[in-house]
Amino acid sequence: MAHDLIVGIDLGTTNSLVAYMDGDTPRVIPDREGRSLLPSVVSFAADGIVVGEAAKRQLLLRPEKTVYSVKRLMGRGYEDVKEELRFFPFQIVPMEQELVRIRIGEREVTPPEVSALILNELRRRAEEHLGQEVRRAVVTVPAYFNDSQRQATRDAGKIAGLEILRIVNEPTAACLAYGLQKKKQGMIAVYDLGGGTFDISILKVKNGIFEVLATNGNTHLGGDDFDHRLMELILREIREQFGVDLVGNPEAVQTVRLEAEQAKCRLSSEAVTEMALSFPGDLVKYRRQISRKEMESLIEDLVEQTVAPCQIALADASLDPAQVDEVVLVGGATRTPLVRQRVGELFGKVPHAELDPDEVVALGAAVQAHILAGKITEMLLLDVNPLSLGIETLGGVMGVLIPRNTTIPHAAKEQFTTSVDGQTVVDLHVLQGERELVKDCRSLARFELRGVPPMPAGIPRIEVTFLIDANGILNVAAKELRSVTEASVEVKPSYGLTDAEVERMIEESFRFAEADLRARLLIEARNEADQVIRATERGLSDGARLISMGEVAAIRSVLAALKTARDTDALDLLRERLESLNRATKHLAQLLIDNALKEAFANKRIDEVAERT
Amino acid sequence: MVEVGCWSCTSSVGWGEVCPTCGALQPISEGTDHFSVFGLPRKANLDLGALEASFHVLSRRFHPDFYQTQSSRAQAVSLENSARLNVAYRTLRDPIARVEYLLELAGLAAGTPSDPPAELFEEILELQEARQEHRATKNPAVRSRLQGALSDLRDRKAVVEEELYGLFGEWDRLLAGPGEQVEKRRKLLERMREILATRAYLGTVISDIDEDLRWHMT
Repeated sequence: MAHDLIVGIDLGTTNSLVAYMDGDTPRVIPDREGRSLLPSVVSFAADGIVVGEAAKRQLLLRPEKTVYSVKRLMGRGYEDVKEELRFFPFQIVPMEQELVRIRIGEREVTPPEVSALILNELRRRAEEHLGQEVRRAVVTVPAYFNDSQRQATRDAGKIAGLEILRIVNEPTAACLAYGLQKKKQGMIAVYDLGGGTFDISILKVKNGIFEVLATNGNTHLGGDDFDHRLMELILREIREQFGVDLVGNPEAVQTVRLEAEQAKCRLSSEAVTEMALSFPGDLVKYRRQISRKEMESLIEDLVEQTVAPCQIALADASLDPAQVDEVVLVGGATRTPLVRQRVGELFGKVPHAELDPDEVVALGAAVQAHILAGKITEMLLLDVNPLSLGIETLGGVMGVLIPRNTTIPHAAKEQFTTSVDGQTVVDLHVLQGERELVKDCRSLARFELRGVPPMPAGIPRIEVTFLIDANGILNVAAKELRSVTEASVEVKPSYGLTDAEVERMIEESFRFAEADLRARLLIEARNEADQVIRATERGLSDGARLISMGEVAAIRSVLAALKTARDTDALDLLRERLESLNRATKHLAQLLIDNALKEAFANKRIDEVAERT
Repeated sequence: MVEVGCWSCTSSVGWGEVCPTCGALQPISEGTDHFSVFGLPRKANLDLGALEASFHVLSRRFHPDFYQTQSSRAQAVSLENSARLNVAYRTLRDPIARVEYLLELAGLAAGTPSDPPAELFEEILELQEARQEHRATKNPAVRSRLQGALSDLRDRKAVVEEELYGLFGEWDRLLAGPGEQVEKRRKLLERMREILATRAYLGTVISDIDEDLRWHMT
């Protein structure tokens, strides 16, 4: 049954996790050092791509080549992210389809490609831990993710060679993790404040079936914003105290960002903490104390911004706060005491925080994976589409076809006709959003219904079926009813990758994977070479007298050859010369060891003498 | 229930059911109405608790989560059936959507009238003027008049809805009665349609005023 293992993945803004079902218990899979969180950071160094902790360290050293919070860019257009560009030290460029790309030196990558590298790292971690191949996964996304963002997530899976069986909303996954289905009946609110997103979901549980009644949130609100507030304070004070503006210096901004993040975390358990920053070569030596109270005043309005979405979700679910039986906290930012306090006030009850708020979503994804593998049948999750789906109608008005908070899968049929005699193509513009005007909604895709049989205007009856699947992703099919021809549908995603682009990226990822492996081996071989070179040089200076002149000369020549190979990219040559040097120094090494042993003996005797006196 | 041949093994099986021979989920037939999806008569009054229980049973039978390891055809049937079920449940659990659907089944489009109902005409005209004045002047007196009108209109909408629900019992009796009551049924549906139109009109006015009060604050 090894082949049907499906892992659960929380592909987070700040950190990502992978979990699996160990019997009936979901467990997060740690890395070799026992860490469960994989920082969602990817660094594109010249000698290879690194992901996670190692990449996080590169945030300071190579900020322009290190990508973090890529989830914020998934499936997004340039317009969407323009506001926060100043917070990204890496370069973001608009793309043809209005989807952004990230420029790393000479190379440009798309957000799904970066996410694919994170997924790959998680897969590697799972395969190492479980000792088996992992090909399928359930991946979570914020409930508020629109179609483009979900598509982008699915593309990331494809690029990583991972079949994403189901995209689950994070808050619903959290409910599965808490096993709240064991309640006979109840209403649950999931308050999820992560690094970059806020979600509130209202669920009803009855007889093992979770029904999402409403979701709401803000795709641009999270713990990162708390960091930004503190970072802005520090940057301003440094400007005031030292007359130095660090904003133009990406490395300095990163240093400040990390310090702000750490101080924020400490303030969740301490009343006061100290921040200290100094920059080499500069006169800036910044030091100050900050109290939890002061931090709270910096973020108070941000926390307050979570209240309105909660109220809208409750209204959509036709509930009063008092009718909510359980409140579940998700996301690292819910560790903030002010957040807990405000949530408690809002719902009038103490929220659940028994499970690690960072892990709870991944654990739930593993439970959902178990359901899909057919191992749990008593539990079922009925999710909703988070945003209304509609089409552009006359006068630039959005005509809703599937309202928000509709249980998915869901289908809507709509009939269209032609406006000109003999017209064979009909254009449709699909939108997502809650605003009345097309310009305020998000453009999902433009469809061309081709192959409409030529008829007088208004005569064709083209039936278009919009089907939202269980992942919240839209599928479109069209049919001309009078002639019963299937009109072909050409989809042009407004923000997204075409299938051909995804294909190309999959191929590239294989190439890169090979290059990455080579790069890794090369780095390892170079490190080994450095070590051997150092040891040999030390050995020659200590022990040249022990061997013949001819032997010394032989070692010196092999050593020089290795040094040359060390600075090339020729892995095989490097390994070969490492081996020859090891062979050439074997005799010397033996003599040195013997010598060392003799000395140790001598020393021991001195020690013993010393002890007696 | 119509017996059809199973798509997978051709055994005889009802639509929307799981084939007893091979376990394949059957598609819901093309022309099936929302009531039939639940095996219910086209009644206006429904027991919502029973409807929900039935929705849960069918969700467990149809949902794509349970077909993930099966053939792509089986997955497609499950997706289609789930979508049909969810559309049907959403329509039937809401009394207004339910009666609109009954009209649709009878070939009477619900449609909203372009003219206000006669009994509201005068009042609507006055309210339109008040809205314009409020937007232009933000006069607190006008604002409180609009607020008064808003709660009055909401009450009236509730009264109209009660009137509509009052007709549900009559519809159900006619439905159970003999076939010659076709004409009576049609009359009743037209009455319901009128009430729905008034309700929809009130709804539009209410949301317009509500929006004005929300956005054009003093």
